[in-house]
Amino acid sequence: MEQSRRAMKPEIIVVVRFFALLRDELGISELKLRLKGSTVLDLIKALRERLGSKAFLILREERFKEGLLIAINDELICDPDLAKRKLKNGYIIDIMPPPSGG
Amino acid sequence: MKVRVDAQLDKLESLIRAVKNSSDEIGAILIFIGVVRGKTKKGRRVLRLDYEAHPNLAQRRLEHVLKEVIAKYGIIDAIAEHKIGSVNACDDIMYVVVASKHRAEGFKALVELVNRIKSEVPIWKKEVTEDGSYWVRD
Repeated sequence: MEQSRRAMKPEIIVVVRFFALLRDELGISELKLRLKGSTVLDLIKALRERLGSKAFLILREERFKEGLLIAINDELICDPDLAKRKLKNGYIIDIMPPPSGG
Repeated sequence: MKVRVDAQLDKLESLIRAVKNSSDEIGAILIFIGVVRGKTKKGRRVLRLDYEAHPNLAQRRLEHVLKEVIAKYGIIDAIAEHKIGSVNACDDIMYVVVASKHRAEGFKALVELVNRIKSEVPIWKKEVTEDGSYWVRD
């Protein structure tokens, strides 16, 4: 039953981009990820799996680390319930370090 | 109101002229010039700063911040420009120009604008010193 429920989850592909310090520390500028599900939480799980030991650079438990800027399709997201937010196939998610301009 | 995130800054004189011409009610024009400091906190010589910005969000976020601060303090006009790419030591990085009826609200707006630009606009800098380079964490 649980297996069939998991099989029912929609699979989508999203693009994740990293900027500045995060790009250099992770050694990745862009990732295409296939998600088992369609929420930001599903993205976080996929990122943890893909980044392995480097996941701590952007994740803390089931959340993005505090202070990071997150944008979905060029919209900055300041949402305490970010993990529940729905994603769609082809969405672009930008993960950015805290600003240091000026 | 004008914002710019670009490899070049406009001439400061032209920005002052632009805000001055925007209203005959202006009684104060306040200017902030961000400059690349020639030394790090530890005293090492800085060769340059390399700036990177989010291609779409930086300009939009800058505009958002400017609009909010203009409304909050009843500012007549404001301009903010931030350079990206390589900027050598002693060169200008950022101009913020505020035009207000009176100096009091102008000073407050200028301080808030500079602080918010530094902490909210997705722009990042890498410090290149004679001993190596590293991203600055503010």
